[in-house]
Amino acid sequence: MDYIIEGLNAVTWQQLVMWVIGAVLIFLAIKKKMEPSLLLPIGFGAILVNIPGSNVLGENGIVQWLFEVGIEASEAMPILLFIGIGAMIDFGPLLSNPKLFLLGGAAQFGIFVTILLAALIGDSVFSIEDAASIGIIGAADGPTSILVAQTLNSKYLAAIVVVAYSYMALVPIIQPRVIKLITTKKERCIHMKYTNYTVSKTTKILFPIAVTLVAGLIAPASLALVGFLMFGNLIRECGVLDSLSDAAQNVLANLITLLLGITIAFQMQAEYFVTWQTLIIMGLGLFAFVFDTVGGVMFAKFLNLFTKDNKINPMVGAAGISAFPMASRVVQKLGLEEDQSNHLLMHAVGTNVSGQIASAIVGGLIIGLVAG
Amino acid sequence: MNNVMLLMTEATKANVLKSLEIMWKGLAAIFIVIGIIAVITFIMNDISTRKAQGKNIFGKPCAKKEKKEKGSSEE
Repeated sequence: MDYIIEGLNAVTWQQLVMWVIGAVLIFLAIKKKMEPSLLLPIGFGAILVNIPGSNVLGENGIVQWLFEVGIEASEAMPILLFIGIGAMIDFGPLLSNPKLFLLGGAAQFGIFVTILLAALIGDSVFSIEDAASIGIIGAADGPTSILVAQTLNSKYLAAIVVVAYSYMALVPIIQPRVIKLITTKKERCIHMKYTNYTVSKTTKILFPIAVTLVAGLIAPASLALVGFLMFGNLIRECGVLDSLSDAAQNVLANLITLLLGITIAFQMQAEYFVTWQTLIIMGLGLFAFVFDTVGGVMFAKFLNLFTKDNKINPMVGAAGISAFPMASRVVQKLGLEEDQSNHLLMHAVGTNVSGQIASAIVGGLIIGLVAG
Repeated sequence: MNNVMLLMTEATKANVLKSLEIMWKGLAAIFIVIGIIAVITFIMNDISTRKAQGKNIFGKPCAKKEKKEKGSSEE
């Protein structure tokens, strides 16, 4: 009997808070279908690591081992996940309209503004490494957030990852409000022309090699992310490795995703997570998403100043955040809301995949600029 | 801005300056990388379009195609 009471007495209020957070994440994943593949394992892991005397932690603990080997030692998990992501992406819509690349770059604006804001909060709260790691929430890209926060040794890794995935799931709620606020009805009704141009197979094969070379030469710190993303895409496009492409898209991506969530939960131990800094990170994460959207939309408007015909619908710029494919769907839905004949999906998808490349490059750039 | 900077500790000031440096260098680098990739893509697309039309990169008919055309006109 004493043994049971001892166990109950060992529970701290912070651990209870973590159980509630875990339950909320599981609820959101199942009931609201918000990024269930990540939020459910993270939620369950949050409960698992906050049970007093839990043997998943410690020297021989499985969760701790997974974290040390899979993330801490080499960032292997997020990087390997990029092979799967690369294999899933069809760059065709982007390659047929290379102008969309610029929108993907512009939609990373929120990352940099958020780093500045986090730095302004003060050194006593966030170091420059923490500020940079928080800013990368704006990449709207889970693996990139994990990689940057871990490489820069931020103590807020868990909060950053949970906030990043939560806001990615909230893109359909956040983005429409921001887009409507900064665009006019006339702008939202702009029709964009569709070309029947088919990208050649050679271009599709050369593209991942060219991107790896350019990103590697200018931003070498981004090579781990960009290189593996492009490797996955090359497997997809080469046409002779269909079974490997299929394995990368399904088996590899699912396996890593399955373990990634529960591994991240290692960082969700109450003493690290239940802090008021977590609340600030939630606010800054939202700020990053909002300003990414603003950056993409405003840059599309800027480009329109120099084009007479074939103007860009500014909403397409918002798809430059890398949350794929939610951001493209949001733009398509908003376009149809304004005008039933305004189909923007392919342009939005092109911008969206451009955002994927840009966010991986920015992740590497930030690691290089902060650590270098 | 100056007043705000005066209120900050030295470490915070250094962080703010570093974050401004990250901002301008990061934005410049991303647009350079993205711009180069966009140009390369445009060139690759252009080459494959010309190739499909039987022209070389200078817009002139390919030697092979020219030969073929000559051959067919002689016949």
